[in-house]
Amino acid sequence: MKIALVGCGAAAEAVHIPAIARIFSPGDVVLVDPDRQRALELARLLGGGEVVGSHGRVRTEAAIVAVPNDLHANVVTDLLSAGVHVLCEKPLGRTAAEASAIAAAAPLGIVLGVAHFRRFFPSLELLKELLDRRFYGRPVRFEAEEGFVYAWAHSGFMLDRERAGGGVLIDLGTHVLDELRHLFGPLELERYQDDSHGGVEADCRLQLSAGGVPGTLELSRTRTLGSRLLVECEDGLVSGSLARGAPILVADRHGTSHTLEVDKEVAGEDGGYLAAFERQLRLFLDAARSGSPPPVPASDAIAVAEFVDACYSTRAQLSQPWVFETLIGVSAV
Amino acid sequence: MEYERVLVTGASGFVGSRVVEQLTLAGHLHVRAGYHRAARAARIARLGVELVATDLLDPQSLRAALEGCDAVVHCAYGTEGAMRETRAVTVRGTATLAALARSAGVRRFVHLSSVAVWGFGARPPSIDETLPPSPGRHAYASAKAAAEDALSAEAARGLPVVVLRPTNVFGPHSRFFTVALIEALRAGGPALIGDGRTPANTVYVDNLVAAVIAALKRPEAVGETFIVSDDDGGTWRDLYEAYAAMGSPPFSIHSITEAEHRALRARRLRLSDLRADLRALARSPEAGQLIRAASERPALRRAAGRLLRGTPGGRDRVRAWGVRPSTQGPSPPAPPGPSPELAQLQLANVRFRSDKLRKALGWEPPVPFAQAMRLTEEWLRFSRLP
Repeated sequence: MKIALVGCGAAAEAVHIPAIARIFSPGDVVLVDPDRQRALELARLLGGGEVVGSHGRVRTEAAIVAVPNDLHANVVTDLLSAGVHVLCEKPLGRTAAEASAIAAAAPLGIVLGVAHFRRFFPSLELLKELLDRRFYGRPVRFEAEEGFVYAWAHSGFMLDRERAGGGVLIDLGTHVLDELRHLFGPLELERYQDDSHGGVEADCRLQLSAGGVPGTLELSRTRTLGSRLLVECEDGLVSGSLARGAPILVADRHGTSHTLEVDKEVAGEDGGYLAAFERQLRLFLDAARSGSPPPVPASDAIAVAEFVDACYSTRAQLSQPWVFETLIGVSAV
Repeated sequence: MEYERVLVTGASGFVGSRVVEQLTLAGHLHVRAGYHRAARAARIARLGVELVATDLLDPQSLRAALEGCDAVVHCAYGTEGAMRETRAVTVRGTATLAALARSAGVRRFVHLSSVAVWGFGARPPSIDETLPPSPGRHAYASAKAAAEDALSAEAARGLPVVVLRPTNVFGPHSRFFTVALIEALRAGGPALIGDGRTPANTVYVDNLVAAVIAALKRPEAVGETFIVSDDDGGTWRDLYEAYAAMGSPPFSIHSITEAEHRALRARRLRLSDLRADLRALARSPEAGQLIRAASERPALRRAAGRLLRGTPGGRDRVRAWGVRPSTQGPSPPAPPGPSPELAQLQLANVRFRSDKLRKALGWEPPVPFAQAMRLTEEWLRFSRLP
């Protein structure tokens, strides 16, 4: 099987090229980008590969699509219609309607998978097993947060609501919401607040439930919150990271605690990032070969997109007195 | 204030972001926000303003950014790369922008300079705008002074320039005079040099933005240079005490003498060499073999874990081989105390006066110190920093 990597931006370079390099020989890879120099740069990194300027020229059996969010619909539906199995970067669509339309374009026997790669962190699987097996009884509530000072090198489309579909919620939040849904069950929104003033939000807060378990979620592009999920269960606490394969802390109600850690040989030295992308790609390729469902089907991405839609349609302003309290009127000076 | 559109350069930076926020959210003006790196523009991307990628060393990007703008607030300066590169951005970039702004018919060019144009060496105890700049050899200071010189040339050719020289700008998102100070207090190391009774010369970020708005608005500002300082008599001790009170319990403020600070910085340099050597050792194959062998012997397992945890980088190695020593690792290295630049600021018994700004433009700092600190504290708590 040959594969195309459509879109040669930051995500392609950072995660998809290393995963492809572990599975494919360069001669079986096609790099697609209208910026030929950029595609050639990635080909150099890969040690070879064919370079083409448009996804319309892709003749491979499978493709990874890592183009700006507003181009997903056209690129993915074109590829699916041409009979190419597609693994699409998240978010599948900027809205649930767009994601559904993309999913509907997949002909019978052609696989559409979505790159919710965090599902493949061994530490997340361990966390899920602890919760599923009721290690400390039934989950009662959760607190989740993730925030990093934004430093992702991108072309600027992420700053544009029309092109990106939103800010930190649709970007980082799509991963975290998918993880919460995976761990607990369907999501329901109680309250959503963000700091947008017509642009893309950089910070947001949610009150929600997942699988009936109430919780909070905070996301940020301006603050170093790290990544943390704390689950209070009937008989103890379970705490871990949602962003990478970090140790999981468990503590019972008597204060006895243990640290559970996935061996680095399994998780990988980088906290599990490359291993997760490699596993995601292998499982997607298996699905493409066998015609079985992909590891993360479009229906999961659509469910997350519906939740994101609900957030944006009911948004309230995040309270930030340092922004508003001292606005200076012209008459004041 | 009748402007069609205001270009704010450096709009993703600390001051530039707040200028854009204020001009946009208070409904003053149509703003075009010029940023250098998209990755750092998350804060201004919230605002729904027109965003434009600019590079001060690329005249074409500046021409495009200036198109349709009749005012400029120039906050950008060189921050990345070697000294030569940062200077080129600050000086040549400012000169290019100003020349293009004049050609484009810009009606007001507000330039964010700095009191650093008077350098960090010996200065009179009270400074106002009549004192000629004397930046000395400090890279930032001399670049800022040279940028002002470049602007003077364009002003002489007809560009209506206003130069603002802010003092130490603090408030939400301030890295140097808010985050760094609270982190130093939290680390528990030396924060103040001497008794801290020298003027802190701070200005709250919104008070600086009020000066920017006055500079845009007032015709009498054109051709003038203004120091922008809250000029409220506050000292470095006052500033640190306000930050210390944000801790729970309040942080202690540790003071050291100037000589102790010099000795601490020198020791810090030697320790950094030692840490680098230990890091290399801990990551060597030989260290790996040692720990693997030790981990197979129960009596050595715990001791080996403790030993390797004591080396930078060793903690990960310990985890990798499954050693789980129960004791805590060594305490982190002692905080280094104020940076050389901050030390110079703290030791300078210099007051920058903002009388000219008050008299000429009717500026008064709209946010008093107590309110500024309350808002800063709210932001710090939001950012989980105190």
